[in-house]
Amino acid sequence: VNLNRLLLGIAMVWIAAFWIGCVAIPISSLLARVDRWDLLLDPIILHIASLTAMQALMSAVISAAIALPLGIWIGSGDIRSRRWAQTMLALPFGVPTVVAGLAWVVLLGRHGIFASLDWAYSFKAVVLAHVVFNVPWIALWVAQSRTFLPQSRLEAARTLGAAWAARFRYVIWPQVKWAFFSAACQTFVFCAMSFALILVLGGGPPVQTLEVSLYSHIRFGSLDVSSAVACAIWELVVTLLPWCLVVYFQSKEESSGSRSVRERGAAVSGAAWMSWLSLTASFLLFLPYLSVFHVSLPDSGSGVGWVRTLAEDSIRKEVVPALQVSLKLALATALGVILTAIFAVMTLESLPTGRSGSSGHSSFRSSRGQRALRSVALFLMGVPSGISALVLGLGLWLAYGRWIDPFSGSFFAIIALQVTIFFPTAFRILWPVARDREKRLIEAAMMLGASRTQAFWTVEWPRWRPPLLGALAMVIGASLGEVSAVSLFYSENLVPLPLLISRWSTQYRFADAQSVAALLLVLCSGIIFFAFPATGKQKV
Amino acid sequence: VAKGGLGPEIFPLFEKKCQCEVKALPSGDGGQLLTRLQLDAERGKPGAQIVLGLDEPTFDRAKPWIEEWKDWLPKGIRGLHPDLKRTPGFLPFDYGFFAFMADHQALKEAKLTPPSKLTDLLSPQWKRNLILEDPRTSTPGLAFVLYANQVSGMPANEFWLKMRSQWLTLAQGWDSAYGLFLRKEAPMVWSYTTSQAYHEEHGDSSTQRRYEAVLFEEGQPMQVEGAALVKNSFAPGDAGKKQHQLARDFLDFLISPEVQDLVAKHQWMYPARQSTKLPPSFVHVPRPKKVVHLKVKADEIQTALSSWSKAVEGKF
Repeated sequence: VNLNRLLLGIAMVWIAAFWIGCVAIPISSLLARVDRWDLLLDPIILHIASLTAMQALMSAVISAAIALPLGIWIGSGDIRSRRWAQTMLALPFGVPTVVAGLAWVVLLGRHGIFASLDWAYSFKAVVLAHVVFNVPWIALWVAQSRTFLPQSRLEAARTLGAAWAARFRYVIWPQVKWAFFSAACQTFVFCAMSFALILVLGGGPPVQTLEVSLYSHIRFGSLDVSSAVACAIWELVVTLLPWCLVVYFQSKEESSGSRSVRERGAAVSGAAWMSWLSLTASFLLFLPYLSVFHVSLPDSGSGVGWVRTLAEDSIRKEVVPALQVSLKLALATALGVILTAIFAVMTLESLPTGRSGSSGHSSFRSSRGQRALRSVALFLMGVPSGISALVLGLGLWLAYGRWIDPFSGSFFAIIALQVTIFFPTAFRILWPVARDREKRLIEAAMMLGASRTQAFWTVEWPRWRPPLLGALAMVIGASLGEVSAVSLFYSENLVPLPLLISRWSTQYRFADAQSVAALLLVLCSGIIFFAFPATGKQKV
Repeated sequence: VAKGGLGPEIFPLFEKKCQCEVKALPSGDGGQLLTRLQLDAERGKPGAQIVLGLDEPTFDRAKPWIEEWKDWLPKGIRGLHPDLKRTPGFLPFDYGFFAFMADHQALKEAKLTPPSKLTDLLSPQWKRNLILEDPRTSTPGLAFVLYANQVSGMPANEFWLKMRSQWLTLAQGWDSAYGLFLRKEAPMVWSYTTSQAYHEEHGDSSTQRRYEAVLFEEGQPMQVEGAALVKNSFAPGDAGKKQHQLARDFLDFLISPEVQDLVAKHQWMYPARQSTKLPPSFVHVPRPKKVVHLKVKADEIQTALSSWSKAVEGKF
């Protein structure tokens, strides 16, 4: 008992220190640094803020319009094709944004297959890249939600004479709507926080968002912290308000019980060609990124020799240290994230659920208070997902400027930032595992003579292992391709793979940059490919 | 400090001479140099004692963090080209002329002929056919804004309102802009006349050129790159005095014939020292019809940048 209490104490202190140190203090430092309120209403910053919101809205609306039918279609396929299609939809999560940017430059540039559109370095290019990036995200959520719809309900509606439109309106839509709204809102937030894609594809002003402008004010142009802070505050407004909606939609989805009934067996449309078609549609959304494998440049001949390029001595000498830095960062981040997520789960589990059986007015009020406390705690755990890495990074710099400095590079600052932004992902995978724990099974095992440790390893660990490994792999994949935190705190001795790509792109070493991009794509997508099934049907 | 640049050539030479170690801190383009100087000064923890690669407009903005020479002058300063302005604290080590570089192959494909004056660029045929640099982050980009404001003969906001639909992209720095140009993303890029020498040196024919500098009737703006000592960057006491002397020795070394002979082929700029022999590829580089001296006062630059931002964001 004492050991349990000690562990719980450590977990609570860790979570409080993490949240206060990595979220609350940096954000308060940002707010405290506002020395010129007029800058918040500066016409240029306002224009950039409105362009950010408009770009995110357009990207989210178009993505949602495409993803809803696609998700429903994939979700209603047979189990085997559905599993493959969902894994295919998950693959783009592993595509580093800098690789996606490079791929779109290859496709939309003057020598790309979509050159005739003349969209390179424009607002349209940004929206297109965001749409292709986010359709799989929304479609995956909708598909997962659709799979929980019992076939019997659809059959009943059909028997009662409901046409397709009526079945959609009264049976399918109520099932998928909260997942759909939640994913669409998340897409808005992701697009508003997008950094590398806009930096690569936007082409500078007038296509400039708050994130890119903030970065320019700190790291590229002459230092202008006041303007950077003004951009950061607007970005908080643009991203945190929709994030509250995401949390609301997620809670509605949980309370509606739309994930409570597990559908078993095959679904409606069993036609093989339909399954293949849904698989192909999912693959098409990943296809653009494969263009980085084709190293074909005007002056260097053509071929698919990215492996050959990487094997060259001079290239290997530069790629290996960058790969080592990337792996170190990814492993440290993954360990930090998993540890923090487990501590968060332990802390939340220790909070009273507010579901006591006692009656009476005062106990009703106290249980309502307990539920509210739990909801607030859950909300706070998700908040970092609604804040961009650059905004947090600026706050971190302002708060701890005596110890960390973007120009000297900081391994610790990159880890702290990545842990903060990836922690909610791992938490959302692990929390349902802890919440749905079968305490009776553990008690039964202990009644049968098993020790607490034995009960844990035999009853609990088999449930925890897949999501835990899945979360670990997903964080490693995401960290390997992360650009914002490393762009802010890199130094000459701390250059990971994504930065090497952008650096080589600017040194005319396009074939080399594309080869590293191909390597990064293989690494990240490979990890997601193997990790995704392990995360089960938890929300990511 | 980039591979093939001047730094890796001259640092070992100086280290041998002074029996000391030179540590290079790369800082990117002009804007980033300024940020670094400002940040170091604010923290009271200077990272470097010498700053290399400032141009005149950047130097004016960097003055608060630059050490004045007082009664000291670098050896050999009298041998510098007479057109290079003498500003105390700023030691010119190379110079060049900004110009658009044209890719004749790409121009032919797009059925375009090189423009002869700046305002030609506003015609619809040049729409999305130019690559420029962001003036807030790059010194060539800033020079283009100051140059256009000075010579276009139009009110600045009117010029930029028309110009903002003409560029394909505003790159963060010269190197990324030039990279895109070499990928044939656009037939013209804002660069230096001496870029032509680079291409000739790397195989471009001197009779039927693919890459050529385009000169405008209005003339070309000049860029002078220089070095300076960073204020309050030397430790107190004897160690600091020794470092200070070494830093001054390095400035002397920068304009010595030994370094100046390397400038053309490593910086792709004209050496500041008058008597330096140029490689043959530089002989064919066209000299500007007129040299435009840009306004370099910090407040003028701020005003120009602010009105540029408003114009390109469509706030006029």
